[in-house]
Amino acid sequence: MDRPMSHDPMSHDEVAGLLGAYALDAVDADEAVEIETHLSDGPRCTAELAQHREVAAMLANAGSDASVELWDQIAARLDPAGEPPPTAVVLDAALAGALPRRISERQRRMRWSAAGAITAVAAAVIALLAVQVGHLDNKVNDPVQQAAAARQNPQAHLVTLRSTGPSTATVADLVELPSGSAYVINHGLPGLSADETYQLWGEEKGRTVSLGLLGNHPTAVALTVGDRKLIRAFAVTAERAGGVVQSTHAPVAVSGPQRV
Amino acid sequence: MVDYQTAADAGIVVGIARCHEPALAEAYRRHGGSVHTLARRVLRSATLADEVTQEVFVELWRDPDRFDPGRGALRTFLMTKAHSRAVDVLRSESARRVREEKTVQTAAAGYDIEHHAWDLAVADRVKEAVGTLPADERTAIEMAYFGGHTYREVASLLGEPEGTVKSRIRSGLGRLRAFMVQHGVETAWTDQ
Repeated sequence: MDRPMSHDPMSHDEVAGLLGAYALDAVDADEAVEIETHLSDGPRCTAELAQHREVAAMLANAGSDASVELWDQIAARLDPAGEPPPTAVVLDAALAGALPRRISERQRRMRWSAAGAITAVAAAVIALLAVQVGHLDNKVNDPVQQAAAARQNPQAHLVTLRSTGPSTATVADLVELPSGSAYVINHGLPGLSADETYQLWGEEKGRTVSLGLLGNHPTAVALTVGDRKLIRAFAVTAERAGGVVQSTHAPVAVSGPQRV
Repeated sequence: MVDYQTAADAGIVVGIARCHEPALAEAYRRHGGSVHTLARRVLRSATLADEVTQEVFVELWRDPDRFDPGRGALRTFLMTKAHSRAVDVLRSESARRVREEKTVQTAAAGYDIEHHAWDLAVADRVKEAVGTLPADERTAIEMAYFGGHTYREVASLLGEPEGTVKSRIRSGLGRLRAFMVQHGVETAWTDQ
């Protein structure tokens, strides 16, 4: 044994020395627990671990074509999604209200009977991923400039988000591109406190899905919303920082009824 | 519909989170072969590799938020999951016999690096990078990654100190990365 038996947590150097082995799943279970504890508060080690794993994945590079038969077995194990929890009713109703009447009535019937209703986890994931994608984009380019460029794209689709207050003024624009990228450009959403965030929602096939977090003082935010033809209405809510899986809040802004 | 065949990893996972089966199918089309090959290499069993591959993609379907595009490519994420699961299976009681057979083979024949592990590395640059490693570092990485051994087991099999083995693994991985980055291989694995 190189490391004496002890109940003291591993030092940074001890964890760092094991990162290579940990990346290859080559440490004992108790060591793995200690390393994972350290990683939760160690960005340097986390970064090194990610690099080791990238290398390991590269070493196992010789993959043959994926088997169609095996895909069939995987597809057979995919769970159908469940019903949306009733806590979404406030936002659902607001989104339905943003749709033309003939659509909203149909969607309202579909909403509670759709077998493929999105799961709460999936909604949260979309929010997180959209934010992550937005953050990645932000590292490379200025989203304000990207949003401005997107507005000039002749294939872009512009959606206005109007306040649900008495003024019904336009408070933000949503620019959708055929690629599935989108930008929210804020004009009038007021700043929120540090422990709050705006959250963008969409109505897709009768389901309310989270499309991403906009932050508490948004200017322009890059998102990935996917196929724009599937999303028929948008809404913005104010939520606690980190966002929520299902909102119980009435929206502060909704898209106009021009999306048919 | 979104064209997932041209989508980046993050876009595919967004599709998966929306329960779009074509998004998962595209992830499988891109990476299923590599996942299965790695699992089979570790487990030496096509049947067990089938099970691991199914678990990896079903887990991605059920729990896509575990993938963080800020931390690496989807391929790396899936391969990491596949390796971890394969090692779990290898170390489980149900696969003990398989492991014992492997250990016997290892002890009897030694680790033939050229013919067992590194033939997986088809990319010329990867082979070249592996070729630059000192033999003791290559051996330690191969026995741990493809053999499914802990560094302690590797040390025992080789008769080397545990600290030496874990250092060789870490330094070897670092050396491989440095070589690949220097030769422009990095972008090939960071995204589709």
